[in-house]
Amino acid sequence: MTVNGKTMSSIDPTTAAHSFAVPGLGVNVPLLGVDDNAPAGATNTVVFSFKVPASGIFHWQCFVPCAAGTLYGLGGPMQTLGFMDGQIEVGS
Amino acid sequence: MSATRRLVYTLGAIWLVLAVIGSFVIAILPFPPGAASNVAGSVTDTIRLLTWAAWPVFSLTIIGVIGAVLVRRSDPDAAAAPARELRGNPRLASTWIGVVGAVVLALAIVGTITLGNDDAAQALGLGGRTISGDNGNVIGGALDEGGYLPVQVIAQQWQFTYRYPTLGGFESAHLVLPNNTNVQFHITSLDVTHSFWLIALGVKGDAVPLHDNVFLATTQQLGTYRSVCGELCGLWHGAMDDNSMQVVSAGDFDTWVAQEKVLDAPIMKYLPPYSTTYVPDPAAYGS
Amino acid sequence: MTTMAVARQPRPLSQVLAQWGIVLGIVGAFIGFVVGAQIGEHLVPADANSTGSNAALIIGYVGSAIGFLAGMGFFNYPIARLMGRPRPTEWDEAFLYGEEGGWKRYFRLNVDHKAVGMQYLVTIIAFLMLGGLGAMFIRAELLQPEPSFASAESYLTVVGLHSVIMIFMASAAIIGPLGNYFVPIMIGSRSMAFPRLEALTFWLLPPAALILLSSIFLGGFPTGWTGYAPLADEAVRGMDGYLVAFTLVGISISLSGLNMIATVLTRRAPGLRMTQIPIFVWSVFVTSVLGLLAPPVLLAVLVMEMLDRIGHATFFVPAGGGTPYLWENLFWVFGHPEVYIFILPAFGVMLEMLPVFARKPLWGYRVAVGGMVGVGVLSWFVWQHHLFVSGIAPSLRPFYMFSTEAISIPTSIVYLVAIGTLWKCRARFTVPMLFIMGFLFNFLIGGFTGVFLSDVPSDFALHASYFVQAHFHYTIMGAEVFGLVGAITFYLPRMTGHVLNERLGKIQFWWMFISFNGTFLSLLALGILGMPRRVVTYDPGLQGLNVSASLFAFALGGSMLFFLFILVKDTIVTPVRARVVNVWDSLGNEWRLPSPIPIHNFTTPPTDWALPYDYDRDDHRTAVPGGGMALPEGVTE
Repeated sequence: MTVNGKTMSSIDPTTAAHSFAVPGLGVNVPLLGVDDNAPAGATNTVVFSFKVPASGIFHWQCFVPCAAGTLYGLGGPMQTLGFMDGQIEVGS
Repeated sequence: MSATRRLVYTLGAIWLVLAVIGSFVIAILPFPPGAASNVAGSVTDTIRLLTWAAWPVFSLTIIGVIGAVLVRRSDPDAAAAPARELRGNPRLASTWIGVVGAVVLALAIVGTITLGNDDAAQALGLGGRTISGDNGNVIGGALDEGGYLPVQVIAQQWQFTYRYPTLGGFESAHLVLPNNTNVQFHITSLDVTHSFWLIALGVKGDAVPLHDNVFLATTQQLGTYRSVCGELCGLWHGAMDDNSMQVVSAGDFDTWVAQEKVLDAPIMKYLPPYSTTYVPDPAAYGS
Repeated sequence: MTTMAVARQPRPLSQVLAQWGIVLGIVGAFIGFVVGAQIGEHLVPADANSTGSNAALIIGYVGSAIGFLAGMGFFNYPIARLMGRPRPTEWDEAFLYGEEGGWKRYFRLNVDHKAVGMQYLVTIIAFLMLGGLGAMFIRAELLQPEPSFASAESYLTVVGLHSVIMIFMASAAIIGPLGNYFVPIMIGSRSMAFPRLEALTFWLLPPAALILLSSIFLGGFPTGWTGYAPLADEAVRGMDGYLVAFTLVGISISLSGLNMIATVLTRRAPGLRMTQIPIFVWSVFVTSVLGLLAPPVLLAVLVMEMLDRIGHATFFVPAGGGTPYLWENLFWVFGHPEVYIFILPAFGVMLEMLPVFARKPLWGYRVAVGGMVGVGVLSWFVWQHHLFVSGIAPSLRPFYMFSTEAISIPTSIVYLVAIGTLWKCRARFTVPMLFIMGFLFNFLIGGFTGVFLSDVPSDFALHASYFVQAHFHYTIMGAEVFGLVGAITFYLPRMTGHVLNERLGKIQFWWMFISFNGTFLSLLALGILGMPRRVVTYDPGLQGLNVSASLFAFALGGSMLFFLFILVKDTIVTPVRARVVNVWDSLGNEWRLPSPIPIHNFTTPPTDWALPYDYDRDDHRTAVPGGGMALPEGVTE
C-alpha cells in the first residue's frame, strides 16, 4: 500500500486513526491519522488494492476504536451501520 | 383377560418395540459434533447417551398418556375405584419420585465423571505430538510429559485473532493446529463478551474482557473446520464465522508457522508483548 | 342504586378529570418526559460524539412513566390521604370499580379485578401478535444464509424486540388475565388484597411497551433480551428504552406477586383452608413468591447498567474495576426464576381444566402442590447453567448440573398427576382438552431438551445454539402459550359470556400444533448441527433446515392469526353468547356465579366451598335448565 505516495508495509498502530478492514477477504489497511500540527483540511491518502471473488457479500469495518467518548471507543458510530462499517456486495 | 389388561399389554409391547428400535437407531446414528477432538468425542458420547436414555422415557410417557385416555371407564371389567384412590396414591407417587430421582442422580454422576475425565486427560497430557518452541524447549509432549500447545484466541468486535505465544508470539487471522496435539486455548476479549466456538472440535469458551478463559482439547483428526462466535457481540456477530480453521499434519504445521512469521515480520515490532489479557487504550490512537 | 342520584349533583373537578383516564395519562406522559429530559440534560449533558444525552432519555422515560400514572390518577388517593382529605365518596368507589359498565371503564384506573383481568387479556394478546410479527421478520430473513432484505442493524433490533416483547408477554400471560380475574373468585373474596396496586401492575405494561418500541427510532438495541454488558454499555441510545421498559415490567411482576400472596393468604373465605383452594390458585401463589423476590435483582442490575451508561460507572467494565460476570450472574439469578414464573401458572391452569374434561377428580392434588413448591424452591439454585462455558470455575459446574437436572423431579410430578387424572377417564376432546394434550406433548420435548442442556459435556456443544432456542420455545410457547389459548377458550364464557366456535377451534389447534412442531423440531436439528443464535448469516449447508423452519413458522403465524380471527369474530363481529354460561359443565366454584358476575363478586362470603374436583360423586350440582347454576349461599342475583 502507499501512504501519501510513499510505499509502506506497516505503520505504527498508535498513529492509525482508522482502518479499513474486510475480515472475510483478509484485508486490513490502517489509515494514518492526520498530524495534530497539520494545517486545517489536511488529509492523508492511502492507496491499496485487493481482489474480490466473483460474487458475495462481505462486511467491512474499522477496527480502530475511534468513537471518542464511549466505552473503549467502540460505541455510538462504531455500532451504527453506515458509520465505520457496512457491506460490500460483489456481483449482480 | 380383561379389556384393560389387553390394552396395557398391547401398549407395553408397542413401547418395547419402539424403545428397542430407537435404541438401535441411536446407537448407530452419527451424532454431531463428531470425533475431531477428545472433547468432541466425549460430547458426542454424552449426547448419544442422553438421547439413548431419553427415548424410552419419552415414548413411555406419550404412550402412557394415550393409554390412560384409551382405558375408558366404560370398560365393564374396570370397576370404579374407591373415592380415595381416585384422588391419589402416595405409594405410587413416592415410587415415581424415587425412580425419577435415581435417573437424575445417575445422569448427574455420569456427567460429572465425563467432565472429570476430560480435565484429567488434559492434566495427564494425553496425546503424543512433540512441538519445539523457539527457545528449543519441548512444549508438546508424549503421555508422560504433560506437554501442550498454548494458543491464544483474542476476540474483538468483530473478528477472532489467534496468537501463538510459544512460537514467537506471532498473530494470525486464521487458526491452524497440528494434529494429535494437546491444545490449551486461552480465550480473551478486547472489548465485549464474545464466545469462541469451534464446532467440530467441541471447543466453546466465552471471551470475556480482562479474563483468561482456558479450554483444553486434543486434536485427533485432520480436516478443515468452522468456527463461529457464540455470544451476541453487536452488529456483525454473525459475520465472525470462519470456515478455514485447519488441523494439519506436523510438517504442514511447521511450514505454516514459518510462513506466518515471515508475513508478520513487518508488524512484529508493534505487537504488544504476550499477555493473557490486554487492555486496549483508545486514547492512544490516531494522534 | 344511589349512583344515579349522586350523578345529578355538580361534581368536583377531580371527578370530572377522572373520567378522562387514559387521555390524561397520555398528557401526563408527555409532560413527564419533557420534564425528565430537561433534568437529565442538565445533570449529564450529551458527550461530544454521541447523538444525545443518555441521561436525558432515561430520566425522560422514567418521567413519562410517572407522568402517565399521575395522569391516570394513581397518586390521587395517596396524596389526598397525605393531605388529610376525607376517604373516597360513594361516587368515587362506584367510579373506581367501573360500576356504570360500558367499554370506557377499561380505559381508566379501574380497581375491579375482573376489569384488570380483561385489560391484561387484550394487552397480552396484543404483545403476542406484535412479538409474532417480529418472529415472521426473523424467519423471512433467515430463508437466505446471507443478509437479504434486512440490514444487520435492523435484524438485531427485531431480534431484540421480538424476544423482549415475548418475555413481557410470557411473564404475565396466564397470571395477568386469569390470575387477576379468577384468584379472588376462586377463594371466595370480594376483591384482591390491594385493588389499586393490581390496577398499577397492569398500567405499567402499556408505557413499558411503548418505551420499548420507541427504541426502534433511536437505533434499536444490540443485546437481545439478555442485555449483556459490556455490549450494553457501548450501545446506542435505543438501549435506554430496553433498560427502562424492563424496569417497569420488573416492578409490575414484583407488585403483582406481592398482591397475589397477600390475597391468597388473607382473603380466603371463612373456613377455606389452603388445602382446599384450587390447584390454579396454588400455582399462582408459588409463582408469586418467585415474582416478588426475583425482579428486584433485575431492577438492581438494570439500575447499575443505567449508571454505567449515564454516570460513567464501570460496574461491568473490567478496565474500570468491574466485570461482565457481575451482569451475567445477577441477570440470571433473576432470569432463571423468571422462566418458572412463566410456566408454573400454565401448569396450574392446565391441571385446573383437566378434571373437567376427564370427568374425574384431580389425582394427587397434594403431590401436585408439592411439585410446584419444589419447582419454585429449586429454581433459585440453578442459574449457573446459563454460564457453564462462560469461564466460571470448573468445580462449580457439577453442582449446577445436578441441581438443574433435579428440577425434572418436581416437574415430572405434574406429568404423574396428569396421567393419574387421565387414567381410566371418560375424556371429552373439546378444544381446551386438545390444548392440554398439546401442552403435555410439547412440554415433554421442552423438558427433555432441558436435560440435554443441563448436562455440562453436552452443553459444550449445545449452549448458544438453536438447540437452546428450540428448548425454550417448546417450554414457553409449546406449553405456556398453548395453555393460554386453551385457557382463553375455556374461560371466555365465564369472562364475557361468549363461546368460541368448536369446529374452527379444533382446526386452529391442529394447524398450530403441527406447524409449531415443524418449526421447532427444525430448529432443534439446526442447533445440534451447530448453528449459533442471533446470527443473520449461517453455514449455507444449513439452509434446508432453515427454510423448513421458516415455512412452518409462517404457517404457525397463520394459525395465531386464525385464532385472533376466531376470537374477534365470536366476541365482536358476530357475537356468540353462551346459552348456559357453564358450557363445559365444570364444578369449579367460579362457574357458580351469575352472569355477569356482580361487581364485588359476593355480598357475603361463601362458606360451603371446597376442592371443586368431585366428578365422581353423583350428588354434585348440575346445571339448572334455562341458564346459570344453582346459586351458592351468599350470592344475590
